[in-house]
Amino acid sequence: LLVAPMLRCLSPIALGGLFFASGASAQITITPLEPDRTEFETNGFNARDCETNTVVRLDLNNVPDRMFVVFFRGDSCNEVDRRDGSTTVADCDRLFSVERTTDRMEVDQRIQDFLDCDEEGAAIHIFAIASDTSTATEEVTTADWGTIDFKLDTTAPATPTGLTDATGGTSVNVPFEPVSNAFRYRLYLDTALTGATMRTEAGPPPDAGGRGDAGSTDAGSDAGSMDAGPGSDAGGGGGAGMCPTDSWLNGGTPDGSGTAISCTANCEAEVSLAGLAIGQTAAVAITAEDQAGNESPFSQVVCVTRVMTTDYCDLLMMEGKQCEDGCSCSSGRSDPVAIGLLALGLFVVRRRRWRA
Amino acid sequence: MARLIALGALLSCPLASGASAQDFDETIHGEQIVIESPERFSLELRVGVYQPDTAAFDMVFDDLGPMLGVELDVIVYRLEDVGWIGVGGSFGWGSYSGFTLGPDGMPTNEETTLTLMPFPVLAVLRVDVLARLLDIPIVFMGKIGPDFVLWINDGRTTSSNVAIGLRWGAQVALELDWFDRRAARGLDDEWGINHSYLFFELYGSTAGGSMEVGTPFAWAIGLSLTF
Repeated sequence: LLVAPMLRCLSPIALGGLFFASGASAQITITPLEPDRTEFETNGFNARDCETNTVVRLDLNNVPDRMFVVFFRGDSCNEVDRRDGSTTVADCDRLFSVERTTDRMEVDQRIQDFLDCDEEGAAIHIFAIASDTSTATEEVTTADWGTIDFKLDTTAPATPTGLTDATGGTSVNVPFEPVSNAFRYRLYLDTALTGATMRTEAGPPPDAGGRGDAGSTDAGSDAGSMDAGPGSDAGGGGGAGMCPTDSWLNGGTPDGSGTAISCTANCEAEVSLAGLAIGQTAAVAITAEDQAGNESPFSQVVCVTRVMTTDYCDLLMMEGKQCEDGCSCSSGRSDPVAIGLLALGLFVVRRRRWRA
Repeated sequence: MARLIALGALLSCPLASGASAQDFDETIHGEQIVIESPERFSLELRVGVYQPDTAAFDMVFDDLGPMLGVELDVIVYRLEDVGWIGVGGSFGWGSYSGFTLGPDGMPTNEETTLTLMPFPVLAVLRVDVLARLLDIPIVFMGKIGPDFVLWINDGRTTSSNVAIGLRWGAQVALELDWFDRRAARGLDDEWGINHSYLFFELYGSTAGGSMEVGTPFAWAIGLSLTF
């Protein structure tokens, strides 16, 4: 009971290294190159991958000098009786074969060459077997095969909830409720609205009907931010301060282009309003994304509106008190190291002045 | 704050355990004498509440901080059986978050923060005559000196500067040695820590100028060690 799972956990790479170290021929190693799953579950495929029948590019290394590399799927396909049907448990299906080129070669196939889109759940074992025939019905040695596991997950996480309309001066925080099974969230912003301002540097996407720039991915931050962007008036005017309902986010389909937000609790999406004029409004929606890259539908669309705001300094000056900036700091969050250096520098300067 | 209290409790645990008998290093002419390591410094770790005394602060920030701090004093003159006089420096950090106000005077969803980092230079008087002569484990401390407060306001725009004023403080401390003198001696022998205290301090600051960040009254509790 214990040994079998342990043996199964030994990866082909580890086995290859073992044989290499002992002087035997190395086993074929298979490394997925496309789609790039570095952000997601390794070797996992999602609903969009399957729907688009995405390209799967595999890097095969240590391929022995045979005529073909034949791909099978099933359990223990390195055993000939699993492949040729001579046993009652012949559960290996031949998928396709490719001609061997060099000991290191790339194989481009489509995801549906390996699995069906309704095969969700358990790992699917793929074997690459080097053979002089395109059917690979002969016995093979350890050096003649390699394996990789694929997994298909097409279930999207739940849709985030709890968003509310927000107002702010240069930025707003839009809070939302996290959902289970979410790996991260994506923030979508639509400024191509009646009464809103659209970015000049980003035209509407081909199928979104006048959609703003989705921004760049930033998976490492706790709160993603998206700039409403500077730009010229694209809408027909009016609608100032009112939540528009003509956003493509209403009933649209997420495409993974929103700004990534990592969050587990007390989630907030920070949206910069610097590009909106006072009184203008943009629509915001959030999706949840699981570890396979499945994206939930858009959340309820809420609106962010730029208004005139008063901060602490403004209030102090209204009281007739001072709020005198001592340096030309840029807007945005301050770096702790810079704060420390600034404190030290200002302390020295001020102390000298004070003593004088 | 809870972490600091826990730290204090942890450090004071050895003092509260074991026997309470006094340890003596030597007996000279039938008189038992305690030999302590030199006492040159005092270190304080503190946490408390500090809020600038302005109406604007109350309108924007619903935040007590906390204000964390560390202070190091150097003993420069010892008053026989009374205490000591020293000079020291402190560094504190407190951050307050809130939301800017909209045209209707109500909070928006735009977050704003105010960070204060006071670093006063202090003259310190410690009076420990009760603890030394009467075995009452209470120590008093007074502090006064120039206060420098670096402030960073990150709101609609970001601005920062240093506010300058006068800082004062009055502290009452409970000497922990009293609970277990054997453990206290052990701390001195092993680490050179002469005395340890839990303290409560009332303090204030008139720091202003570039921004009024002073307050007439604030408080802190913490752990202090002399070594």
